[in-house]
Amino acid sequence: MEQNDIRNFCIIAHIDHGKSTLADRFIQRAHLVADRDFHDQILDSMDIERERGITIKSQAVAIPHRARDGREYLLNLVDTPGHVDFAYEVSRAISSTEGALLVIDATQGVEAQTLANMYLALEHNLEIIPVINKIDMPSADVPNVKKQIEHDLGMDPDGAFLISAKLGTGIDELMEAMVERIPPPRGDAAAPLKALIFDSHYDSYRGVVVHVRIFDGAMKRDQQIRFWSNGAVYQAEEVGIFRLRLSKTDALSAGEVGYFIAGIKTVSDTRVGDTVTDHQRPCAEALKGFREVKPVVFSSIYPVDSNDYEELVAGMEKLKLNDASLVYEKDSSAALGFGFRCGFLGLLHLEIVQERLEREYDLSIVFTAPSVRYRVFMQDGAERLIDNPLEYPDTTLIERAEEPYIKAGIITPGEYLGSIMTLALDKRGTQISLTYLDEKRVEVFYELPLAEVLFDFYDKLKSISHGYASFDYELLGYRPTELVKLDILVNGKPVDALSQLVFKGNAYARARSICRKLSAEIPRHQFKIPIQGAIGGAIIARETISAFRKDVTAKCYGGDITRKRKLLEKQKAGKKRMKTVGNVELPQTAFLSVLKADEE
Amino acid sequence: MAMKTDSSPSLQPHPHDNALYVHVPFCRRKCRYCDFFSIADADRETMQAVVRAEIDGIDRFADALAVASIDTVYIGGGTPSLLPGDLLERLLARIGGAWRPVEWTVEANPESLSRDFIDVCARTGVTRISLGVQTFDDRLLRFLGRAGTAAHNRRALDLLAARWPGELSLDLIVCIPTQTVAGALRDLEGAVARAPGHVSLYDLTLEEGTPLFAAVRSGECAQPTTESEIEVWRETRSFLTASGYRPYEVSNFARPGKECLHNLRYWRLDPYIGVGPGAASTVPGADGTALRLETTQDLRQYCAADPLSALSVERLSAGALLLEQLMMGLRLEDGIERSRIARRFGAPLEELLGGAWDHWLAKGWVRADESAYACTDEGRLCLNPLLREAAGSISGRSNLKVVWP
Repeated sequence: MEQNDIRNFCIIAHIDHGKSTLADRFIQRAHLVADRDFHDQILDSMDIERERGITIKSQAVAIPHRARDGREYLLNLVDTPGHVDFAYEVSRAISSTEGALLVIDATQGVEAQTLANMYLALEHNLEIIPVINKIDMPSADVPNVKKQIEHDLGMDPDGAFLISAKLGTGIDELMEAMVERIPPPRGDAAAPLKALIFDSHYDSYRGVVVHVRIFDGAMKRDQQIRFWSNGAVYQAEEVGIFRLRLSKTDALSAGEVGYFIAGIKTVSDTRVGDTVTDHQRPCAEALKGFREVKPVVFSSIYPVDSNDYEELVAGMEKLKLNDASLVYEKDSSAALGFGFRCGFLGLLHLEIVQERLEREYDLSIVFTAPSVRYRVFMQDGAERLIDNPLEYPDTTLIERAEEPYIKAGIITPGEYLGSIMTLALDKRGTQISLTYLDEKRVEVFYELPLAEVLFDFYDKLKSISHGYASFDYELLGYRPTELVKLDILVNGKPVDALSQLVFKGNAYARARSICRKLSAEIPRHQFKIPIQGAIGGAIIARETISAFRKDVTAKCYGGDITRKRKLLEKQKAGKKRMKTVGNVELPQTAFLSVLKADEE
Repeated sequence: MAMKTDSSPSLQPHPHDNALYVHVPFCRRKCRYCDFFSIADADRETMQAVVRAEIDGIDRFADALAVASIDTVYIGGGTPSLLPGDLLERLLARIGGAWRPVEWTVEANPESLSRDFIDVCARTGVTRISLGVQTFDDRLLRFLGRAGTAAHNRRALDLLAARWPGELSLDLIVCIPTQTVAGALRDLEGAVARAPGHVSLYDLTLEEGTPLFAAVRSGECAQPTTESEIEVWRETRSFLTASGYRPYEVSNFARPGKECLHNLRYWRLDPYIGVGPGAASTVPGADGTALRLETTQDLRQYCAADPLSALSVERLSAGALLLEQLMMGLRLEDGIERSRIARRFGAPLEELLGGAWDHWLAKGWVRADESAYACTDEGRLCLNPLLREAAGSISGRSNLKVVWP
């Protein structure tokens, strides 16, 4: 296809501002799918995505559009994930396009993510078209949103499009503007192949389908191609474009977005951000910005019922086929039996893996408290990387320890700066710089221990800034720390799966918080259950769960039966998800509560 | 689904193995804790109309089910002893004239228990009087809003000892705010001294919508703690057991052979006919399903309409019946007979409840032998959570079948 007839674009928006609905309208306009087969959020293929209203996997779709100039254009939408855990995937998807629709909810206005996304788009020199959505809502305030576009984004509000993605208002005008304003790709069609992998997915019939943007040259069927990062050579068995389904073509040429299939077994053999080139005639250099995505959060997964281990193995293997960022190895615990130690990109990634294992593979699982990877220096000079409390060495053998730090960038309206500084200080942060972007907005950088950010930093930041502060981070490296292993004893017995490695100064507060949360989650038994936090042999926190209360209705005769039965049906207990440890039943929620146990 | 019917439900003939409950919805005054359906201070005209409609209702049920015999009768309330003698006799004579129940109970309150009442009962074939004593402590009686006093209790018990030849059951309430364990045991001693064959011992239950519920909510009085409730439960049970009363149900104690046969039918989910405003029946429908009929509480509607049409009708599914069977049967010390479960539901309970039964068994909450399934004392104390779990297991099953009764 002629590059002049192609427009590659992404849609960037704060959660719930209408990204998926807008994509739906484009797809309907192009009649890519019969109306009777259409459903909302058609690009979000996973139930979790639809329910949570977030996109986890990138998707792409080629939308044919006949413009007013009478020419047929192909508008390639590259849909991006919507969470900081997947920031790298987002950046690769964005760099596959030349333009971005910046969608702003007319009832909500410019929000943190809008800003962060706009900066990302600007970094990649995209043409940005502001789009004000939901203008049909009674609470829409278009003049105010326009003011914000001018003031907060520094863009010309007259160029903004007024639409209602729900009703389809303004969509035709917007598509016309995309043709006019987004520049066509400008690759060198004659140069050696240079393509960017922005995603891949696993198809159970055809193996791995790699999503690419061709920058230079072309990729043809049967061509021998090479991955830049590891030199692996494959033969492209099929190339094509996305039309909701995979649609075969003879070749993909410069400027196009599409896919190839090359007999690749798992998505882990492909790397997002990698450059694909021709094996015989490689390009001179790789595309910029490739980096190996490494897990930063580690946690173990165990089946609630130990007999389900084999099913967990199968579930993990299947999940891995489609999730390149998930890494795992076997693990075992005295309390929980056999399971896996896993690495994740962040807590959302962890939650997604949990939900998918439970829904798609019908497994009941528990996670242990998430941890970062510590560097532990031993007395004998050895150095060990430890992310699992179960592998934490005897303290007398340890000389010192280091933990990973990040550089966090926060952009916030000035009025929240004070609270944010307090939060960062609480989280052991050190301020590096503070800059006023304009009269209203401040950009501040902190060095923070990653472990502090894992738990609830992002939630707290959002809450104290009413969602206006944006947050991004990059890993800096390791810094000295003082580490202790916090053990949790339930009814006098340590439960290894509840142990965690924590900064010494946080140990007391963390122990208290965990004990309190556990005491709320563990059901009453016939006996009192003490819940204790301990370092070494010393108890530093304690809660007690009192024994069962009497719970039986005093009277029940002929006239009471219906009412009482209906009450029971209403209160009926779901499927039990209990893990028996010693003589205490720990519900799955007890393990989950520890994941986020970090208040005060 | 429950629904109001315009026409009466069609029932299957069920000549034998029947029980009859008649609700007398009148009280001198409403007790502060009571959420049963009753009206205070009704005039004779209203009472007469209700009794007439009830007799009519008994006739209609008897016809619809082709009743030949009734094993047990229970006249409850409300306060049946509040009915004028002639109305009471008319009601009882209708029953006694047609059937010879092996057990026939009438409830009475001490302050309205008269010689006349006792004589009418004796004359018509009543076998058992259940007296609502509640407590012998005047302060607590006032707190509960009872119409009678401790003196009324003693006088009524003296009268019964002198004139009543039949069985006697006493109702008592424990776990009343400010009542001590020692106080509860004193009440029991006072009751046992009268040598009733049967004692019902209820924890005071705070029912939403009652004045007492509001009082506790507003902090006017404190609810007993979990620990003291459990202490009262254990102490009163061991006292009554030592006195020769077997705790055959959660709240009911009897000397050997004196268990309430009528109530046992509820706990075993056997058919029963309920007559009177607000009364419920469980009877076989013409199509072979179990029907739960609930009579309107609207007195005017009740007195005006055909007694078999002022009803809501629910067809009980197999799952609903199984849950009810557990809910009622696990209250009993002797539990639920295996044969009853097998006959009605076609499979053993272990299978019907999925893993739940085995889980309870492992926790020591239930026991099973060749003849029955039952709760242990520990399990019965916390029956509701078990039933909620059972409700979850049952709702997950689609292939349940039932043959009832």
